Amino acid sequence: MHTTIRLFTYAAPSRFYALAGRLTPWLYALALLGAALGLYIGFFVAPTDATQGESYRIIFIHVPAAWMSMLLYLAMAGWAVMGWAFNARLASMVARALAPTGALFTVMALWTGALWGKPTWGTWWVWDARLTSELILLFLYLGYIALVESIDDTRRADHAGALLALVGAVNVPVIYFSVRWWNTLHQGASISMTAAPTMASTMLAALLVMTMAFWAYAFAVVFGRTRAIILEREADAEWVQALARDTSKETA
Amino acid sequence: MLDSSFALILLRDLRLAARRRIEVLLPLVFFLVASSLFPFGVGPEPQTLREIAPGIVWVCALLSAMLSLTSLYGGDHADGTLEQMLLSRRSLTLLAGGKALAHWLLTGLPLLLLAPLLGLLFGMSSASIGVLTLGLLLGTPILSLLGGIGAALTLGLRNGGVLVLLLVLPLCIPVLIFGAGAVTAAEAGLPVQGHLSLLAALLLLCLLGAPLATAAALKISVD
Amino acid sequence: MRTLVGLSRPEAGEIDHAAATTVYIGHSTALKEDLSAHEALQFLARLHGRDHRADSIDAALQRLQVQQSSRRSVRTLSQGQRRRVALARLALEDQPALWVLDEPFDALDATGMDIVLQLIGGHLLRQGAVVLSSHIPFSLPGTPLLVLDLDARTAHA
Repeated sequence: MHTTIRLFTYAAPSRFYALAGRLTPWLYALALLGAALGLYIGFFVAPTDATQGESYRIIFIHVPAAWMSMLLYLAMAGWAVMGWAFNARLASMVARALAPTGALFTVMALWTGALWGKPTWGTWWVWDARLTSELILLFLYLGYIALVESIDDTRRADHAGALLALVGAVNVPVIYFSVRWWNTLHQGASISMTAAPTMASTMLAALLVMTMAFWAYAFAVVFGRTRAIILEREADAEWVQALARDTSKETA
Repeated sequence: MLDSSFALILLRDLRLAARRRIEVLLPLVFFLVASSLFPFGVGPEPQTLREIAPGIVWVCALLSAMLSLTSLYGGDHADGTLEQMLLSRRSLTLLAGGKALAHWLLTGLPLLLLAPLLGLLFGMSSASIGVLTLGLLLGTPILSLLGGIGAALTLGLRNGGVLVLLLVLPLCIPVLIFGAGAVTAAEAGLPVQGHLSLLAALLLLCLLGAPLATAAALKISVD
Repeated sequence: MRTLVGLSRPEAGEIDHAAATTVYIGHSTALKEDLSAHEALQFLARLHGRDHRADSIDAALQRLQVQQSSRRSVRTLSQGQRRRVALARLALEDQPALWVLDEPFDALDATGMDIVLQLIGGHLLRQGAVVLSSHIPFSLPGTPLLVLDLDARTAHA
């Protein structure tokens, strides 16, 4: 009982606002350190790949970005559906805040995928199964953002987005497997992670560190965006008015 | 039977369409025109056209089927009929199902009847045309079902027409892959059961889930 | 009005009413323009599970004095005629229910208004209830009437 109260305490926008505000600087610091460490390991410590030489090192950005893009989509769908099912305003706000970051990681994955492709096959893009799935994921993100931005009524926008994200999430496995089939059917080129079946432990370490750094970054940015959304939506609430007064007193 | 929610909506929509025959023909004309653009773009070489034909016919069928989506619920929303449907004791899921079937009968079915003609224009073999038509028979209802969800979500929005395309087209990619893939396989003399059974499976999934999702979307949009 | 029947979710509080059935006729008539008046009314009757036999529909249209337009398409009808066809639904009702009517007298002439008031009176006699909004003054003598003035935020009998 006591723990339940503690958990739902942060479901209140005002308390989440305060907590997120305190955590954000630390999260950015963690992200920065993690990225520095991960990139160092990836670019200087990990061995040269037998077949691909140095150009493979882009995977230390590409793979974590792709993982994040998929995880954030699920998180977005999850929070949105929670907000819809339980009429939880904060959950819906978090979902809205997740979307742009998820889309960003998707673009990052696509871009680094292209950068990887250029030295490997000479073209900026190949219709590889995973890259193509990533592209479709970007379309799903863009569709979600377009839908929620087109609806003026906040509650309708949140709930419509939740349904769309849910339908998208259910579709993702279908899309992924059909794209894989399509790719093998037409014998397209494919990006293979590494030629060797076992990855060098340093490569794995770099990937994990980078993933963690991206997580921290995602949390930091999403917290920041959620706080902005909270201020916007709860503008009439007493605590927001008080905050505005305090802030203007400080700057005055 | 006539009083079932499903039949009530279906028959009404068919009757309404019968009084607006020109509007029903528009997606079909688009199908023909859009498909015919490709030879102008890629050249009239028969071999090339035969190779890309399955893809072209499928993509154009997809786009044509989506054209009439905004009016799927738009008219009822504008004149207050949708409100009455929501207030009636009737199952919104069945109403959504009836709407999807009406949409398919008026758009998807004519498209698949027209497809063999396009197959001939692109020089496809009769076996390929057969697989094309069978694939469209399975795939076009999926488009109507998924389209219903999109139409319900974008009800009454300013840029609803383009938005619904953006939302629904990515979801239809698997249908496109298996449908066009089946024809390509038929052209190469390979078996097509795999593709077609996957299409059938997708259709089943949509039949079970899409009307429910559409009903939920309608409730969200009218709130 | 829409919140009352459940079409909109209330921002605060709850709606609680004892009626088993609700009949809502909103500002939009819910008549498909391409259908005839008869067909449109029949569809609505069917939709809501009311008597939809052809002669009952004709009788309802006659009650509202629009039976001569019965076979004409809704598009060709005037606002007043459309309002009468929409309200003809009430003539098909015979159960004590809650009627929620949004500006029912809109576009009606004095005769039309009388007919609707008669229908309402009949409904009240069989233990029905009516909630309606109107900027046109009307009177229904002999009935318990509660008037909510939304501008002045008062209620009086």
